[in-house]
Amino acid sequence: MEQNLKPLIVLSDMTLLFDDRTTGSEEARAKLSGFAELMKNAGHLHTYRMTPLTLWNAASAGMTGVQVIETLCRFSKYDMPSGLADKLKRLMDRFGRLRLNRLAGPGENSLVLSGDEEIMQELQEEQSLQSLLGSRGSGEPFRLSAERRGTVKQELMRLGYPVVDAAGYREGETLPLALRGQLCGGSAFTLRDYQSQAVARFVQGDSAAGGSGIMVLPCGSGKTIIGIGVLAALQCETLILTSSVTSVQQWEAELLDKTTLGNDSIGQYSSQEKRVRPVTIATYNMLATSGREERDYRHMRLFNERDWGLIIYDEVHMLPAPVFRMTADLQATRRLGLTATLVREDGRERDVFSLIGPKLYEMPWKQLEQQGQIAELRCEEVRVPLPESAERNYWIGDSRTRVRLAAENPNKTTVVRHLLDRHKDKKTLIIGAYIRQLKSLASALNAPLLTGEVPHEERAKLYEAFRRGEERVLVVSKIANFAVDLPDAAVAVQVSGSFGSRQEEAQRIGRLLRPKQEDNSAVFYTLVSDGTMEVDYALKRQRFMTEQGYRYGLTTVKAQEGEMN
Amino acid sequence: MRLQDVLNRISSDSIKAVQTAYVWERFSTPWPEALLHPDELFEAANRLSVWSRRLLGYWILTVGPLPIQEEKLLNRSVPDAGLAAAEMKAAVQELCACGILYAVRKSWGERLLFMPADCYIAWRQTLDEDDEWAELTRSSSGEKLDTAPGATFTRRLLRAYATLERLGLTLTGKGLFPKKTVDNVTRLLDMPVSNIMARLRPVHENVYPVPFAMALDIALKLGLIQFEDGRYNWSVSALDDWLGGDERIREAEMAQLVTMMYGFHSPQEAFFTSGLLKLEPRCQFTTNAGMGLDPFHIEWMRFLDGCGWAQYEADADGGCTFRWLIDPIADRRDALESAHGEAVIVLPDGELIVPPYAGLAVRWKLERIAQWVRDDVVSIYRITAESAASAAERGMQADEQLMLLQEAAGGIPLPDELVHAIRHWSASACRTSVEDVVLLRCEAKEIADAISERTELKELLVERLGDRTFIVRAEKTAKLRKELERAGWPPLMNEADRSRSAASHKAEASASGKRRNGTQQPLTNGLHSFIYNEHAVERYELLAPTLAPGSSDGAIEQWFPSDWPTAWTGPMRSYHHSTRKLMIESALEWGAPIQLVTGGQSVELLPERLESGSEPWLVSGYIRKDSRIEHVRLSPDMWEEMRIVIPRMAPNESGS
Repeated sequence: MEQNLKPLIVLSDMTLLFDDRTTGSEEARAKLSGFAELMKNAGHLHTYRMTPLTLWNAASAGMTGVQVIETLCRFSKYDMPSGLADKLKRLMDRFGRLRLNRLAGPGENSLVLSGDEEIMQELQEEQSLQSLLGSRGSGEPFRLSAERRGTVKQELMRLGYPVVDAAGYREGETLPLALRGQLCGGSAFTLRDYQSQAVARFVQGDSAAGGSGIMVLPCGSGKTIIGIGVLAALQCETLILTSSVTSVQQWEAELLDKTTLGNDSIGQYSSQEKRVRPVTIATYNMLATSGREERDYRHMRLFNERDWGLIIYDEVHMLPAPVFRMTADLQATRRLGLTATLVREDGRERDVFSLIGPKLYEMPWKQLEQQGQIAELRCEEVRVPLPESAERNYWIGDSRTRVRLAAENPNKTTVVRHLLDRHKDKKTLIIGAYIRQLKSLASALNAPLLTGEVPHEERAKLYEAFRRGEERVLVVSKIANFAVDLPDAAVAVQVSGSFGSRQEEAQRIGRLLRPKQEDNSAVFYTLVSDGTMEVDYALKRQRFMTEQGYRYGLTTVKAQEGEMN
Repeated sequence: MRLQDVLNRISSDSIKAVQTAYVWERFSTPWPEALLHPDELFEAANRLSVWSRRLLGYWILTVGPLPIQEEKLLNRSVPDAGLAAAEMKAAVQELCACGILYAVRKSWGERLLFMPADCYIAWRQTLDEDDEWAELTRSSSGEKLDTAPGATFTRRLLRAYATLERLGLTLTGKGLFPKKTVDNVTRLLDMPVSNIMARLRPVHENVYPVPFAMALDIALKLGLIQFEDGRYNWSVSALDDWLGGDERIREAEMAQLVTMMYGFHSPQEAFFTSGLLKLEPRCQFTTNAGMGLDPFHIEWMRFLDGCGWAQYEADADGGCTFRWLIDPIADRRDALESAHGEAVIVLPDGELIVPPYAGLAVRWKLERIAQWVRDDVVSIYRITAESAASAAERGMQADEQLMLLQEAAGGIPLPDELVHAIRHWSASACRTSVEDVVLLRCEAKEIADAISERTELKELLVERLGDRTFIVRAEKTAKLRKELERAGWPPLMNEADRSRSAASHKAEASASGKRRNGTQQPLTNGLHSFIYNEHAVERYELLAPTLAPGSSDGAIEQWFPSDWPTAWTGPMRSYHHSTRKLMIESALEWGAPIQLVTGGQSVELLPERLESGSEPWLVSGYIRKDSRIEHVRLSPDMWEEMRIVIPRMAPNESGS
């Protein structure tokens, strides 16, 4: 292959830049996915990363360091960075040489870490492990308490030592259940290929990666189904934590629809009712609610209420701090995190990894789109000029005033009308951050308004009306960011947002991605006041989607007429 | 001193004279270009006399690129170089006449000889007898590994110069660069601490850290900055030239320049550091503890590693491995057809991926409009709100930024999102400006109206502000005052003018006082280097290449006494012992070698001393055979025949 036509650039920090324009790139991409994970997809240059975990996954599948290096050399456009080949070999050679087992004996709650003496010596010299592992005699394994299992594994991974975890997990109370082959409505049901792969990755037992971890898949790809698939594979009592009461209800509905579980086996634990059953679904808020005494998180008892074999954290990126801490003590229980956007503006993704587990499975958005598993999405940014009076006030105002003026730009209403007219036969969500603006829009458009103040029952009714097509337009507040199931929304118009939140942008877009029956396409508009801070926020917000491979078209509204170009 | 520095100081007549020297006749590459190409030098060496070749070999090994007193060289000629004094003189003359060696004269007449540093590097690659580095590369079975360099010193230097350009070359009142400038440049160079760096002495060592001094030193050497009219300025043509061309060549040139500037402190150092340049690139060389590497060698290899040009690793047994990550002697003739380099990849999120040899010019452009993220196999930059606004603040509006980016991207259309983002960020910037202006204020609107009507005053006004104020041309303030006086409105002297006036009175008084006292403050001059160079010859008078008139061709018999018996320099003969002694004395006086027949064999003797105190008298000196010399003490009965040898300048002749 001619040098300048090769698709790969290999960097010294194990990042791989992959150019999809080159000949032979498909073959290279297929090989890369065996030992690297896709990080971002901006333009024609995709960023992959080799991590210790991806390399060990490759090793567990039988790949050697030499093979990885050969692949890199074969497809690399430039020379390999100095020292990288040695590093890769070293990392992969370590696979299988460390093992974590449970000490035998009744009531025994200790684990042993054993392996090649050479590696054991190296571990002994690592300062960060000394307090975790203690000391040992020559040729002897390390003994550690079961509580330290997660922390030790994470630290070993950070240092570059994979450990085969054969210590097992609490099986939990057995719960017989199966996935239905046919749904209540009569249609056939089966897991999609990627959902099966994700389930298999989680339950792969004693590999370095199996047992606990995070699955990252786009909105609309059926993460709930994956959670249910794992539950069915493990056949154990399960605690499911999610972000809102609506999500709790949706989980229950899916469990009843897709599995052989009956009503008696599923309980909701929320502000509305508190039923603990073999499968219990609770909200994070509930668990993080404290009593009179500080740190008296009385609902955390739920973690010990039954012999859970599995805990599922839906929308795991929203995990609140108190639940974090409680989770740290649950290392013996399998933990599954589900999310579409493991992005936090506070940068605490690492905490999620260390307490739940590493990223076990990820499916790029564009890949699912190409397979037709999620809707084909078009994104458009519409720049709306501020009216002259607002512009004057904008420039003399402080930053808070500027944010509000830009967000609540009255010219946006005209644009919304225009867009609704353009998509008059499509179900549309109008999403915003400011209640005053949304009220004004709802009134102007004669559309129902959905905010956090609307009671759950009324909300459910509105969802149903929207689903049936009785309501074509819904004006929605921030509650649209969370796990809301609106299967047929084909258009979303974002009129304002929370500053530069990438996650919010992705979550809102996620409301459009469920595959649709006839026209499997969706459009997302984001209205941005031209020449204001909103443009800067928009650029930040769009970054996640851009890295997923989505492009935003740009339309500028003419100042005079308020009409779109 | 490098070759170009020499050529800048000799006359065109001298250049022509050297070009016509027989050594350079019918050469494919003319002098002086040939001096930098080992292939050409090999041919040139074959045309030189045997003594010049011997002197060159000795020079490369022992003198190197450092200057040497001519007298000292002559004193060492016999024991060190194996050359009789006359041969040495002849060789020096020939090499000077051919523009291979040069001479400077100190103020008291003493002459220093030197070889330009870059020519030395070229000769090092040509003559490699007794050169273990050449041997090492020839016999190398080291593994050849394809590894890419990352953040090389050249790239870091480019970023430092781009920052320097942004911050400006203005000096403080003390004639120094501002601390902010010094700190930024130092940080960007990111040089690891090493003994090589520690031994360099910046001219302002209390103020300038070594890395900063190096950066400016190199900039001066490359001609990128010049000192004129009391300030430093960029040389646009030199900068354009440096930025243009194949980046691989520039890396090699920089590696050689740094070697010349900081690795040539002694002939031994120079032999080692220039020898390293000969090692085959990318090939791993391993030494063991027994190879005799001394601390300087190790420090220098470590320094090259710190510059990103090589990879050095010490092992536990006292040995090391070394590998060049660049080709340190790639030259312009190796320039690839794709000298303009690969295009930059521009991503929609603003990330810019710069291929390894995209070219310094491309990197320079990106430094002006984007934020550097990191250097690796590729370099990564990012266009951000800050970088776009910063470029706009420096006068580069969105269109220009986009044009630069488009050029860097090789004409591939830029992502729309990024185009819009750059336009937005640039538009937000520079909607205001802060300017220093001169104002003319009038007491009444009527006066202002009248001023704006008067022809002589109108042309001095820039802009009217309100009813009574004008912005005026700062450079025309004096004329404005005169015209206002003439028009009947002499302006009030402002505070600054009053202070200036008082100060100038003081200054005049002080100056006149000083003149009376005979003292005067020296002016601040620009520096020729920012790091002291104890071996600098630039300060001395450079002599024209031809040392002695009429002696650049033919024999040099004229140096020798005309009253020597013809037989002495004729065919071999047997002489009486007393005559032998006389001949030895004469040869010693004139530095000529002697040919002897002893035991039926002909040998050359380089006499060193006559020991007449003993009986019979003895001559001590060196027998020269091939390129080796052996010390001997001979009595007159130890040889049969003899003659004095007069060296000839003709090529490839030994004079026998």
